[in-house]
Amino acid sequence: MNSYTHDWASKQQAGTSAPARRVRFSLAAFMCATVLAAGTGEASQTGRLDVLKQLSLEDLINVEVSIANKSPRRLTDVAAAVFVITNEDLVRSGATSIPEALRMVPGLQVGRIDNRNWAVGIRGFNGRFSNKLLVQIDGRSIYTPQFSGVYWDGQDVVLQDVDRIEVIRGPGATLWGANAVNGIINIITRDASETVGSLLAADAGDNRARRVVYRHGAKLANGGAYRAYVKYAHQDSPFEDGKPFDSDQDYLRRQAGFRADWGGDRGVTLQGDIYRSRINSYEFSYTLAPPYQRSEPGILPFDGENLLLRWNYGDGAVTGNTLQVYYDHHERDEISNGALDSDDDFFEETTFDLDWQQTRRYDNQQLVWGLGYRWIQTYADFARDGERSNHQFSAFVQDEWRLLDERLTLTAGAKLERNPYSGVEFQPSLRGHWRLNDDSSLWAAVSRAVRAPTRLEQDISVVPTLLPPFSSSNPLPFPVFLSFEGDPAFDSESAESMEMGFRTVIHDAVSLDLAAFYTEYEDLRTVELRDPIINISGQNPFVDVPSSPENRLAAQSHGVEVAADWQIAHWWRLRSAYTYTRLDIEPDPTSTDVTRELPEGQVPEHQLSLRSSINFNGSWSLDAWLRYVDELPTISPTQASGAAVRIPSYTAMDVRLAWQASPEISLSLAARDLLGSHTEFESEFVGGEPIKLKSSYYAQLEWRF
Amino acid sequence: MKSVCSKTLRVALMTLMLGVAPAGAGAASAQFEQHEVVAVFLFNFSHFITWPDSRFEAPSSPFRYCVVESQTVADALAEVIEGESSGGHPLQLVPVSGPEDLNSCHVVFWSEADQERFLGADNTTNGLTALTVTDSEDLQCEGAMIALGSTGPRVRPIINVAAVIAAGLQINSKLMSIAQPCDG
Repeated sequence: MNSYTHDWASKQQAGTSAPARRVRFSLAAFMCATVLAAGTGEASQTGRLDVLKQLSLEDLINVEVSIANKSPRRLTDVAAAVFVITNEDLVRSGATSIPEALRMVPGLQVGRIDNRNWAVGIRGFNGRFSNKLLVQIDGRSIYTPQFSGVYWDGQDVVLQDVDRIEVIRGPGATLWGANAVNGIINIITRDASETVGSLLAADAGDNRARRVVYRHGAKLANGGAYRAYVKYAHQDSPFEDGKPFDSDQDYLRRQAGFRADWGGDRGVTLQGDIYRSRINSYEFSYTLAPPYQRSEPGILPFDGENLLLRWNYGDGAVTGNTLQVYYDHHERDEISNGALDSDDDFFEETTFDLDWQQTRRYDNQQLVWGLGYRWIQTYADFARDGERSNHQFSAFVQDEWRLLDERLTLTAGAKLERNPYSGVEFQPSLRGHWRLNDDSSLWAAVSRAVRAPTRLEQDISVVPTLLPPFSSSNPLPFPVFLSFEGDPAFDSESAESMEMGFRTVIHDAVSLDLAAFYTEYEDLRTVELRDPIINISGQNPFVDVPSSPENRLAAQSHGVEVAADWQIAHWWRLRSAYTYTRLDIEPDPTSTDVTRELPEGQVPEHQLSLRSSINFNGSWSLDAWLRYVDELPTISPTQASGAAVRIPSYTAMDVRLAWQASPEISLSLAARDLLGSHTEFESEFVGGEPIKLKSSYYAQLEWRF
Repeated sequence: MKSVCSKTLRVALMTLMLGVAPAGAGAASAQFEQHEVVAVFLFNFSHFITWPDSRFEAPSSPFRYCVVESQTVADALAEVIEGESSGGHPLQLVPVSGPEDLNSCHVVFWSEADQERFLGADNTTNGLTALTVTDSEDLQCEGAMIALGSTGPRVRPIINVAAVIAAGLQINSKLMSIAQPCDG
């Protein structure tokens, strides 16, 4: 459901520049590599062709070819900061979940919180429930409408059937709509006609990790194709022992689904998934009488189903239309609801979404416009109103002009969106792309995007903290608790962003992709204190210190993102990504926000990813992936000094060795998070000390038949 | 910070040196060219399509490929089929100097650019008994029997099943399962 996704080259762009320290590092590494590579001599094409010859027909139709001169819209022609993770990138990264693979994308911050929770953010503002990005699987939005975050443990796909993951950094609201403030992650699975045949993949590793996938695909009599799959995954915590939320928090997931396609690009797609998951964990609750805090072993289920129908019609040449409708339902129990004297922590969401989009092509113009409707029904035990349902409407239009022999492309568009909490939002953008020559291009964009208020910001009612009497932080003879109450007056957060980028290919071997941005945020969420409520007359006396969300924070961020891709020899490819992100926040002087660990501040200043992919002997491949993440500061608005370091920087390495034993069978061994244990992220929603991630290992078998 | 950086560099160098270990082993890059994938498909057709014995002079006579004009495909195919055989017939690439050379071929390939020049006025291949293959984007059930067009970044065979059967050839079900039939 967007116009960027079509025909992006799978070939990724890339580059290197940054603070002097990193530049020296990269140059040293690259020079070293050049010298070493030069000694190996030029190998013939035979090796390449041998690899192709050994592929099965199923694999051969999935081999990606260079489409530099074929595609009408290349990646290098997009006026936005984009990065594409191909299926091959995904497989060779050794990732067993989507967030792991996202670490390779410049501009993204990915931190593992525990064995199922992740913090994934774009250009800062990271948190377990980063609320400024839009994440989609095959056009179905997967962020939760109740608080705009993504439950990454609730989302899974058959990684072998993923075609690509497109990541667009920066505001993309004009085409995609609210929440696409800092970026969009589009997970796109393969057309069913590309997954004909059976696949059995199983892996096992330490931490009692085991995953099994069986998928079967076949042609349908009327020219279509389908596939159906079942997936089972189990995992213990990959963290060092002795920490809370550790040994007993094993995570079990069962999922099944299907996809059927008829008619290729101008046809119909029907797909759906169902999942049932369980976490063995603890359920926490607070009580006004002793013991004040209860924690009991509990099984937390989270279940969901979805069904999507998409129809592409029109001649494709002059007009193309897409009609998409989907249904999504999920429900779960939370570890802690924060409600007093209650174990009720049930949470449920049902979404029905209808989108229509039309593309019209003229001589030098392309017009895209569309309409959208979404019905959302939500329920939360910890919301004042319990169940709520609402309607959202949207309309967008975008025009693209190609000028000066198609060397210059200008795109202007806007989206109007009406939501039940902040009314009508206007989200315009203006983009330009200038092709300097066949190998290089420049782009720039100015855009505005909005993060609409969420339901829980309006009517949540929880107690995040209770201080027992006579405890170290509470000398009073009765409990003091901090409560958090949603406020219907809470309004939208907005961002205005300026971006620029440059892409070039040098000697067909090195490609560079640079992007720089400056974004101003207004009306960001703060947590404001209300007057305390003292109740010492009842049977259980207490002091309640309530707080509510308000829009009293402004911020500016700027940064540079570089991706470099270097085909050193035909058998060896190096890819690197460097990210510099800087966030400056300005709380309103009248703000009483006491959130010492403001999630908004959690962004590492420097990040570096270096991936080496080597093929040898036709059937063996070796991948090594080195990641450096700078220290994660916590910026406290109440401290004059600004930053306080909490999570130290770390360097980690993943290694994967794979052997294509026959066209049907491949084996791989992977080691992850080598180079010592480290903490990646501390969740604002998961209590206790930050958890240390340790190395883990697994072996995988894939059989295609 | 200093120690972390030097550790980073050490590990990077280690990684790079790992990369040097298999030097000269001769392997493949991730990104293939279209003509390379096309050549491997042409090779596979010798295994997944069956020609009647009557098309061969003898049980050990060669299986002949003819590639019209397209030098990149011809070069890649020559490498792919070197030393290979199918059903006892050694695979061979024969030079094409004129239309008469095509009559002895089992597989004839021409590129999209040659399409018009190659086809007769009636848009057919003038009764060739060979399997005819092109790299055209779309196959409208006329012209070649198989199109190795690319949809997005991938090469996918589109087969005019009726034409292949009419030429007396048999398509293996495995090939059918991954191919698309031609439009209308």
